[in-house]
Amino acid sequence: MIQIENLYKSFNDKPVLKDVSLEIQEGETLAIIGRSGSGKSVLMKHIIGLLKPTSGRVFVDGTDINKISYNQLREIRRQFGVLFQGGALFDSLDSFENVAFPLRTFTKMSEAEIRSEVQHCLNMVQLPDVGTKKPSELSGGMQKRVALARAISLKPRYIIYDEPTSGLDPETSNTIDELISDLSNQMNATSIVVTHDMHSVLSIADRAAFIHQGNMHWVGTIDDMHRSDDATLRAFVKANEYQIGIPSHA
Amino acid sequence: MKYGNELKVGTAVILSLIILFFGIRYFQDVPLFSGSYELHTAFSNADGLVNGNPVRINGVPVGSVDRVRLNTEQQRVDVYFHVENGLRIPEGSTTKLAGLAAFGTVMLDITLGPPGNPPLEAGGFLSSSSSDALGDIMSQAPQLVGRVDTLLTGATSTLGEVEGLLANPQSDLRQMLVAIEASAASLDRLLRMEQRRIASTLESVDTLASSLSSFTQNNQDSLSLVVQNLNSTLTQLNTNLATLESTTANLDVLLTKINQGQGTLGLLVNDPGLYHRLDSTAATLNGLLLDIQRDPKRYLKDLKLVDVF
Amino acid sequence: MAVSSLAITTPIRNLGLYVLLLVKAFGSLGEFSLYRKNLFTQMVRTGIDSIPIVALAAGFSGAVTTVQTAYQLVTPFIPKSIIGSIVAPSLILELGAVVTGFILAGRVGARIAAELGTMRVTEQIDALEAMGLNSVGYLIVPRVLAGVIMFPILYVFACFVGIGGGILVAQIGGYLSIGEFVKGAREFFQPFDPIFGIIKSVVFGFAITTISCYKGYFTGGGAEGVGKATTEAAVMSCVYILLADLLLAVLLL
Ligand SMILES: Nc1ncnc2c1ncn2[C@@H]1O[C@H](COP(=O)(O)OP(=O)(O)OP(=O)(O)O)[C@@H](O)[C@H]1O
Ligand SMILES: [Mg+2]
Repeated sequence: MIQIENLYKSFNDKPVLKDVSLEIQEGETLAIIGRSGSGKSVLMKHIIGLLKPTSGRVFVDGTDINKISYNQLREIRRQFGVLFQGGALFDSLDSFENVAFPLRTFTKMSEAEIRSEVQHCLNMVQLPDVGTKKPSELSGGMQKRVALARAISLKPRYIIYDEPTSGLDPETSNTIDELISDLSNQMNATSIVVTHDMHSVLSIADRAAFIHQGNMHWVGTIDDMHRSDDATLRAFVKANEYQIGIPSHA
Repeated sequence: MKYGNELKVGTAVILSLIILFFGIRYFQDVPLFSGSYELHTAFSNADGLVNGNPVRINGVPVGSVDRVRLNTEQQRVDVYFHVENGLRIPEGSTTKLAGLAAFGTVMLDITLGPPGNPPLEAGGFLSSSSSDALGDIMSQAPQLVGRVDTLLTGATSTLGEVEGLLANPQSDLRQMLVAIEASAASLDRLLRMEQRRIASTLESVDTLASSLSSFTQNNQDSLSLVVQNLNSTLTQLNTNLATLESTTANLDVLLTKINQGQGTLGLLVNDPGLYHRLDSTAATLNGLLLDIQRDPKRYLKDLKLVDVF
Repeated sequence: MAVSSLAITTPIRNLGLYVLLLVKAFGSLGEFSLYRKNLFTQMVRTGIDSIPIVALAAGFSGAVTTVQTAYQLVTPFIPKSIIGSIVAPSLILELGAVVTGFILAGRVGARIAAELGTMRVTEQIDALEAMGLNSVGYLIVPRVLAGVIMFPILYVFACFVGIGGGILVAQIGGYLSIGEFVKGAREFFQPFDPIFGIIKSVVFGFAITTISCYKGYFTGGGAEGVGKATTEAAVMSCVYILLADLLLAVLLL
């Protein structure tokens, strides 16, 4: 379980997050939605301690991750798989080695086991034969999928996806959405999906958290979202051109 | 290649260690492959000898100096050095310093002893004999002064004898008077002549010394030329002193003759002018010789300047 | 904050940041398995791959020093072996380390800053951290170690090639013979000189790699930031090489 309490974050006295609180339940899939620049990625980086809050606390399984030693924090981070917005593939390694990297670093698998595991992950993201290609030789969408394969290769308890489907065609997007659902069901993983893509939100998320102007503007289940009459949320959702079901008041 | 990087790095490390090891040995003048053994010598003055200075036999480098230690107990400088293995240095070999510290070229020269002697073991001791170019002058000059001193003593005692004879009124010096007068005159002339020659000799030595001390160009060749000149000048001075010596000897002979023919000495007593002339001649000789005795010392001080620069 | 107080606090903050980074790097030294593979990769990139350019520069330094010394010593009274006495210690004491330092500041310093800067702005460093990896130990320790280990090796090669270049030019150009050169070099050779050079090269290697890692690791602001970090890394490395050179000469000679 992850709890975020009264999180404030400002960069050079410019506030980005103002009093954000959020609780993420074990096994659920939470979508974090919000406009570009609203602070979604900043929030996500606080969950794994890559950014330190200006004030407020972040708990992972009851541990305040900003009050523990660096080595203890690293232990906690190992339970996470993170897909960064830009992929963040290691450009010195080819695709195969990128996916194999966590396995080589954190497991004592044999070379054969690593091969089969990496191939399995690459098959899941529908890129079975990119192994020998360097990240720079891949398209943006392919890079993101290789990065996804890397994020899940250790079968983590928590998986954070920062915009997993942006830049992908609708068909591949659907495949990735299915993959995320499968992973959370099969491995009982807790998934945090940062996205603008309302189609993804509707198809995979149990709950959604809407960040607006640095505040946690709205949190609720997808059903609640259908019924919400919050104007800002509806405007955001409408902008995505997806019908939620409740006619606007206008 | 799985360990390609490790292999490259390892090769570079080993190669650089080899270069470093042999490079230092090479520039330290230590034989690259065969070993070396240590020997020991001592000097009263190290003359600027430092670690790493070459050790030579007949001008051929055979090793280098390892340590130079001041031994205050025995008031000497202990010098440890090594020479190539397989080089046979017989007992009775001696060491001496060569070159000038001012030019950074002090060397330890080994003069081999009789080849029949058994060879020195590692850690063996060689006695030293100091004789480098400047050291030659330094050691030669006091000898010269000593000789001048002896000569002076001889002359003084001879003249004292003369005085003793003159003081004896019973002596007959009449016949010898003319001879003495002539001898004294010629001695006077001779001394005046010698005085000029000695003075000019000392003057040229002085000039040489001053030009040597003002010699700021670090040129060993020219310097050794100067040192050679200086040496020959001193030899000349030596010759001059020999002349003076023989003159005094002549005087000695003369006085012996006077001693034999005593009859004419009474006249000498009755002739105070002559006596005074002889006396003043003796005084001149004495003064001159004293001067010579003083001058070389001054001149040696000048020489020491060479050591300093 | 006022501009003037920023001007004072910013350098002190940066120094603190640099020192903390070093402390973290030293703290990670024990995790050898973390950086073992990277260490050898970095040693090859920093050391082995720099050998040709270092050798080229050192060889020419030795040759030029020889020719210029010969040109300046026209007096017939001075023995020609003095050229060897000047060229060899110049290379061993100063040029070998400093020429290598400047080349590595450009070649290695800029590369490290660009690599780490790009990794920073493309979130690769964040990705490493997010996996639970110690990014300082993984990225910085092998680079600094590679610099500290390989720099003395490059220095030894530089001296070797530099003196070789000097001897070669002396012989071919007819300035003096190999024998005279070596005789002169031996006369003034002090065993401490190469030791001093090695100490210097270790310090230079440390300065270049830590400064460049610091600049790269804390890059901000996209491609422009990477460019800025790269330039600063090379320039700062050169400046600190000169400062360290003076400091070491004062302290150790
Ligand atoms: N390291 C940083 N330094 C300064 N400002 C930052 C930094 N990181 C983020 N910000 C600022 O925080 C705000 C939120 O950024 P964030 O990346 O979280 O947006 P986002 O919600 O992820 O947007 P997008 O959907 O476009 O990715 C932005 O205004 C950005 O300028
Ligand atoms: Mg974002």
